[in-house]
Amino acid sequence: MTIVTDCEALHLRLQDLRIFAEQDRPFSDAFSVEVLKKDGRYTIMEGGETLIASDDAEWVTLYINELLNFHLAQQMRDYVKIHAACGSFNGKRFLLAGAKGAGKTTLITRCLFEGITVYGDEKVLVRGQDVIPLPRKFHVKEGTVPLIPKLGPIWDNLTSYPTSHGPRVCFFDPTDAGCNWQARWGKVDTIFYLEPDHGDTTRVETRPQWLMAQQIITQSLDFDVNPEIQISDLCRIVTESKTGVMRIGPLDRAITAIKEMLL
Amino acid sequence: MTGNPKQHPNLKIFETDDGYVVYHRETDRVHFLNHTAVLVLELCNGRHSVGEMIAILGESYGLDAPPEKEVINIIDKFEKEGLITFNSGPNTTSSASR
Repeated sequence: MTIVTDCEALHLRLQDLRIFAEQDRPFSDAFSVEVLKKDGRYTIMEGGETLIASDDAEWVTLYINELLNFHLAQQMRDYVKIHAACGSFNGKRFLLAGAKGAGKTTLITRCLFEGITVYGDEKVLVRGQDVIPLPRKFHVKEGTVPLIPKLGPIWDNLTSYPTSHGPRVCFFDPTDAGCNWQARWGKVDTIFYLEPDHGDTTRVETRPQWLMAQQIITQSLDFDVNPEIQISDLCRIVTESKTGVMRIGPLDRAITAIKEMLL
Repeated sequence: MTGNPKQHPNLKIFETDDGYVVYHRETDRVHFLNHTAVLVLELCNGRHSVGEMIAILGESYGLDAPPEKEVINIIDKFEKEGLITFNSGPNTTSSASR
């Protein structure tokens, strides 16, 4: 991943996009873009061709982020993906699967400060029974900070960006908290399907495997035209993992539940 | 809708411990079946009428009354989703509603 610019101020912003993860397959390495500043305007170039120009450094940063995500998606188009955060505890890998807004990013970021190894906040790619986290910066919303007190001091040093869906987000990854960040293939031990509750309790409920398969397949995307092998892989991941539906209330109980399942 | 129900030939079935995930190649739809629905689908082999299936399931589960309504509902759903078709095999004795 190479982003070159002749503007120092923009250079600092673009550091927010850099992927520091140690990767089995460095998807982002194929990305190379150049931003030149002339007459107060930033010109974004790729492969020697001008893509677009703007005088807004924030907008340019977000544009390059979208461009990076587009290239990542192109690189990974042959893999089915599960909407899931990913981490490990006690040497066992787990997924926090769930729809947008289920609490994946909030819970996995909290895990980072609770002795749990964290890999990704959004998607994992599937290859047979192995998964690899998408090496993408976590998109942490402002409202997350009160739920994760240890994130506060780090947040103060991050730059927030506007989003199309409302709250501003910061681009964050485990290295911002002084932790290692890896994107490597590995087998799944436990799958939690997150259902927002926002009540007074956090609890993990068992569900039949066929229902868990339904929930995981529903949260998967980018199937082949002939998806039989991918459906088979997803079913096997479910049947060979411990599974539970986590209704998220207080995060400290959610952390305890994750650790208990992985002991 | 007379005759014996039979699984559509273009189904790909994936087993879980307690159910099936069924991919229909023609409709490109995925179906998720619980244990009871799996039993009904398994019986949809062209050799059993719906009436026979009701009797088999009633005996298998030791039910006081035959599960006519439940089985017919499942069969209806299977047919609407194209998971089964009806042939006119030798055993065409069916439940009253069919």
